[in-house]
Amino acid sequence: MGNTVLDYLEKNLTVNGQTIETTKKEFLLLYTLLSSPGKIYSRTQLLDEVWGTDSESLERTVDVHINKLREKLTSSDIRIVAVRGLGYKAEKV
Amino acid sequence: MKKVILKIFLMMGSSMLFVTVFSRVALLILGKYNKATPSLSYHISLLSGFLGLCLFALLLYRFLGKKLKKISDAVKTVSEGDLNVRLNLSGHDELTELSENFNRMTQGLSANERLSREFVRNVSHEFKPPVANILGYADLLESEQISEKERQNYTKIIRDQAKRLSDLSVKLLQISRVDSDLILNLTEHFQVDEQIRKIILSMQPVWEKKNLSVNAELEKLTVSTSEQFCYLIWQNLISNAVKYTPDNGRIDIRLYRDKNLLIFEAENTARIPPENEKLIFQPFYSTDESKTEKGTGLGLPLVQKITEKLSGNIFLSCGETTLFRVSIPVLFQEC
Repeated sequence: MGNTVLDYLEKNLTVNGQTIETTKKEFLLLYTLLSSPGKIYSRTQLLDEVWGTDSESLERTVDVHINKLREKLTSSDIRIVAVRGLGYKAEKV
Repeated sequence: MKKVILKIFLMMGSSMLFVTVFSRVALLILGKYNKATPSLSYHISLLSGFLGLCLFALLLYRFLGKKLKKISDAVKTVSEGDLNVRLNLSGHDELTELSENFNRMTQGLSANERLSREFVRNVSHEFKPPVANILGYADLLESEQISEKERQNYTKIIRDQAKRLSDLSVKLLQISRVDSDLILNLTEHFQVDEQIRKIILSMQPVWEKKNLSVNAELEKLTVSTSEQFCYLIWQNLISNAVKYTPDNGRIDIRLYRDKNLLIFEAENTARIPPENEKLIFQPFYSTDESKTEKGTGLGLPLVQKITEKLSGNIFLSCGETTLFRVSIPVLFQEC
């Protein structure tokens, strides 16, 4: 997407040709959001997708990981938008 | 039954009075003819006792028995299907109260029956146009002289009309299920804010297309009530909000707790004329007659039925914005 590439097989995030370190969860989170660009996902939905439905993790965990992702995507064409009350979406700038 | 028992005592009293008076008079008369033997006096007492009881029975019949018979006859008439029976009992006791309540009951049942018949009439009315369309366009499709474009067009129309019929039947089934599901499953608990959030998100393509601004303020709440019924309430109200809000408008969805009540609010920038406020809950009523996107017309009646079933309340305010508020008593689970 734009200047950013996600390689699902290698779990690689590349921005402008440069590889950016991501944890497995961070990668899966971004991947889920980008599976339908522009579609809003609720925190619970993201928790279910990335952490599994039986996970004990809280919605707060999603917020923390989103923030970490945002830091890593500052030079990327991809932007993660928070929609108040509903969740997050990823879209191309 | 205080008044009735009082009356019975009065009747007993009158009978006792009669017994005493009668025996006294009888003995007096016999005394004059010197026939007041102990044996005769004894028989006079028995006779007056017996006459007293007869009087009591007569009084019972006249003041209570007849009324009971009237009530019983009225109930029998209703059981035979006639709801137009009304009782007219005089007096101020519990039996009169019973007759008044009976009248209220038959009146209510008559009104219900009238509404049911009207509903069935309306439903058949709603089925006619789609069926006519399907038959009409099917006839046209049989013609060999239509273009490919026309053929595709007619087929699409038939499919749309069939979908319309399908939606209508689904809604009818939902409405009838609300009536028949006597026992609610209240043991399951669920995350109601996420339930609502999912519904809003599922409609994202629609409200994004209309450029609507959707604001969700949903308190994180876990509740015990019927998940299915709640889903139908939110789904219908939110779907209506999305459908009827004009382009570039705004929808606010709120969920919060007020003591033991779960409160859901759907406010949007669509305008309903205040005079239509009462009518809007009637089956098949629509504010926009020239709508291209026709709904089933049964969404709001369904919501109202379900809300009643859950012992809740529905409130509508029409003005600059349209606001629907549903409040349901539920059991909250503390996290």
